[in-house]
Amino acid sequence: MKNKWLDLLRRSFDDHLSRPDQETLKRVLAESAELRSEKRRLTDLRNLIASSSVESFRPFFTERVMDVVAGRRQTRTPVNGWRSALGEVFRPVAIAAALTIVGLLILGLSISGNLSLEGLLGIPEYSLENIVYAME
Amino acid sequence: MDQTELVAAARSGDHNAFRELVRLLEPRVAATVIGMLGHCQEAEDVGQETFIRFYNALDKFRCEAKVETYVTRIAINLSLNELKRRQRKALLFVDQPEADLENLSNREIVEIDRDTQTTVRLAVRQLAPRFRAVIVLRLIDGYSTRETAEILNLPIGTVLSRLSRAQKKLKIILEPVFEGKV
Repeated sequence: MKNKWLDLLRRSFDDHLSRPDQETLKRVLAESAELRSEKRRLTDLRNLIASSSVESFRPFFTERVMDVVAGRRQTRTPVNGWRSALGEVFRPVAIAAALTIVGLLILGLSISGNLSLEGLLGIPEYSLENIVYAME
Repeated sequence: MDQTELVAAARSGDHNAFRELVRLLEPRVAATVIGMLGHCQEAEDVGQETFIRFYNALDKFRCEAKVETYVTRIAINLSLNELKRRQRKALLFVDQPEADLENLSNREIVEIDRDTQTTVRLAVRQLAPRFRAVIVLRLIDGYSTRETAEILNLPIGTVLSRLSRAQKKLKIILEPVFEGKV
């Protein structure tokens, strides 16, 4: 059995064949018992797969979906909407703030050249005498 | 009310209209998701998530596509994501019963005492996700080749070639079923 006829046969199940292809397939099916048997097998295979379908979830699926939907509707009240919007805005702001702080710490470290807290925060290191002198 | 009218009613806040849509579309979504993932808790979760996504997208849905096709597209995409997640999990953890069921030998599928439908479902689960998706949509859900291509956003030629390759593999796996050995 030629692969060409097999491909044509397979295609006939899923694609629209041109008139010449339809006639060719009809002719070779009439001539070849092997191809007719292959057609039966393919038909059986496809019917078997189609019949294996499971068309429902556990009982009360609709109710479970509606419970979740109802829950979402409740959280969509103006106050909750404002809170969730605030929550969504907070995350990028918090990340940007954290990155800025880390950046400033690194800058302070590179300028002061040591790991003291004052250096990291960019605070000049005053001695007690300096402060007393400045106050006078 | 037809499905388009139900969508319009649900969009304007009619809770019962959306309930009716879920009831009407459950068989199609279940067939798609269970066909892709098997009959398991994850399939139910994906089914539920499909309808939640649909609910959230009601305002955007303009009825350019059929309601059923639109929901099936959500279901198949979520199922494909779930399969990716399952594969990642299977790489990290050894004991993954659902993933294990997707790596059976042909002999294991047909030898153990199962009914024919379970054997067929297991055989479909041996296909790679991209092949499984076309088989589920075309042969289980009964979409046309064109609709299958639209749902998966693929050229028709690709769908036809995947269907052909998937059927060849399924024919080999299910040979004993046809020969009456199962």
